[in-house]
Amino acid sequence: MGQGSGKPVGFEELEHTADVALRVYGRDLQEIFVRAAEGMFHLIGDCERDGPPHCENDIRLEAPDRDSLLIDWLNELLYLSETQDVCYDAFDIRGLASTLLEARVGGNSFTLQKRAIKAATFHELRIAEMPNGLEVTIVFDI
Amino acid sequence: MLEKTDLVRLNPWLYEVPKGFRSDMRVPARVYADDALLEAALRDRSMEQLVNTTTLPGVVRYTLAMPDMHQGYGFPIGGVAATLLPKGVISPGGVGYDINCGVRLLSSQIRADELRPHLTTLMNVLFNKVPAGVGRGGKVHLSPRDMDRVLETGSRWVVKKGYGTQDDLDHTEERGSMAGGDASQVSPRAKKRGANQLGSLGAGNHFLEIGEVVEIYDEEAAARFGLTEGHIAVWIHCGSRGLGHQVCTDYVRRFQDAVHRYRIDLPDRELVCAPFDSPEGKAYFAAMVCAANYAWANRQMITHLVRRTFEQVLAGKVRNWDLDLIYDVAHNIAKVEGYEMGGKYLRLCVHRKGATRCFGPGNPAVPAGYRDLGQPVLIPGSMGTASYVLLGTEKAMRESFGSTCHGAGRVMSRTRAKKTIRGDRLRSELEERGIVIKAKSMPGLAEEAPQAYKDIDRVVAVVHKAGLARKVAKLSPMGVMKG
Repeated sequence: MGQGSGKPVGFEELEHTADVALRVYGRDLQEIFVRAAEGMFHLIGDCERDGPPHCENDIRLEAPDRDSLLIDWLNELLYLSETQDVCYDAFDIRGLASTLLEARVGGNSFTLQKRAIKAATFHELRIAEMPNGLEVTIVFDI
Repeated sequence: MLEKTDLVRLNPWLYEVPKGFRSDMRVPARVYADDALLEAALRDRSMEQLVNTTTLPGVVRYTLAMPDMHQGYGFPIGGVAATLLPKGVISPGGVGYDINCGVRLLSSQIRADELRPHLTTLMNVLFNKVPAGVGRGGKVHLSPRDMDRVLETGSRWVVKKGYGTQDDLDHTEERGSMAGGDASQVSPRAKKRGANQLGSLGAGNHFLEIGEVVEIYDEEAAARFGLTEGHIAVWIHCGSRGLGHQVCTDYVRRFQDAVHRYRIDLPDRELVCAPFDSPEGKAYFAAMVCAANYAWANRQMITHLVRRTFEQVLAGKVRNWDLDLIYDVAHNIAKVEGYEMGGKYLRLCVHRKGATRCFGPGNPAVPAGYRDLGQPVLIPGSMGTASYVLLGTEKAMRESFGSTCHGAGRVMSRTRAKKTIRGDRLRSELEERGIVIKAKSMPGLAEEAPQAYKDIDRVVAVVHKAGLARKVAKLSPMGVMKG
């Protein structure tokens, strides 16, 4: 598991010449979705941690397969974050099947914005079964 | 991974991966590079990504990579792929998320020594007046009606509002207003993201730079462009902001289903595509044109803010503070263009992802004032290094679908750049060389350090020697503003 001091567990940044790649680990699909979202916001910036989330959104997504669903989920969060200026750090997945996701997400303002992510891409995307769970590498266009 | 031995050297500046290298290749893949640049390209996944582009249905002749190529997602950056219309495909990933990311260059009558005493003030005021950085909005909030006009008419709308001149339009690729846009094909989400971002630079590798003309290679062309040795010029590099990102996101997603419908088999899902004349292909092209128009409008709006700042800071201090647009080029776009191949005239969809159009002399798309020379090609270097103005050539029309490189091209990952280079130290190094740096983010500055990029002189030398574009002038940076 990717682990650095003060960083959430479950993802690590990989070398990529121009963009940013994130390897995400999880015991199950739900954990992959949560860790991928946490990893993405870790790349973007730091969230205000005091008090309850000042912004909450309900998300419902349908996609043809679980890989697409993961990218839809991340791009949905990017859209909400940019249009509402919110740093999300609470990801409550209420329903998840390979083609359907229901979640409530919450966040606060950014205390630091390190970079803009344009999108999560489908580049070489595949959620793979590993001996201890699941693993996926996501390339973000920045 | 590809090895050097998988490539055939066609001439000192051109290598080919033969069609037989992989069974799914429909055409060969070619790369313009010298030995050192080719070795750099072989160190990451860019060559493999280039080979993947040869599998696109309808692709013609060969796909190309320019000497500034590097790894992207789907297409490599610095990639060019042309498909035969009407059945050949259009791929949103072949344009990228920053649709019509591009660059414009403004000439001036201001001498560098005349500006020097006012440079810091000028950069400070520019930093204050031109919105930049992550999530920063622009100066204009577009109503839904005005948004549709921007999407369908681009820079023309901005000029109509009084923020520019007819001359600006004449000196912009597609006159800043590409035909074929249909705002109804752009999602409400994309419009929402773009509503308050017109006139903003954004973050990443986007910048605004004041450079000094330090070398002239072609006196006549330089004079025609208003470039004089020792005078300053202004570079603006940015794109279509959140609106363009959302258009690409929407259509890459939509095309995931389309590839099944059209039974298109691809080595990478980010290459998803649809026949150009299919309902999906037409819808994406209409939306892409809208995003491209938004980007031209954005650069036009920023031009207005820069001109106002020059007036505010320099009026009375220099003789003439006017800034004239030399040209504005797109380097992430798909275009419908005609080429003669094998004695036939063919209509192609040319994808340029991190590549610049470089039409040769006589082409009606080149502004009237430059038509006998060829199209101006603008190649910004990495921060703190040189930038170039080139001219498109007849050879590029025959050999590279009228395309050339777009910049220096990265060699070092952002993670490694941040580990090895400190933003504040980099800034002091550049400042010791007399370059004024204004940046929103220090880690962001380190990611864009010149050490993370290829040598621009080398990249430009390859396209010049290969005959795709020829050198007109070289500029050296004096002031750089980053998002």
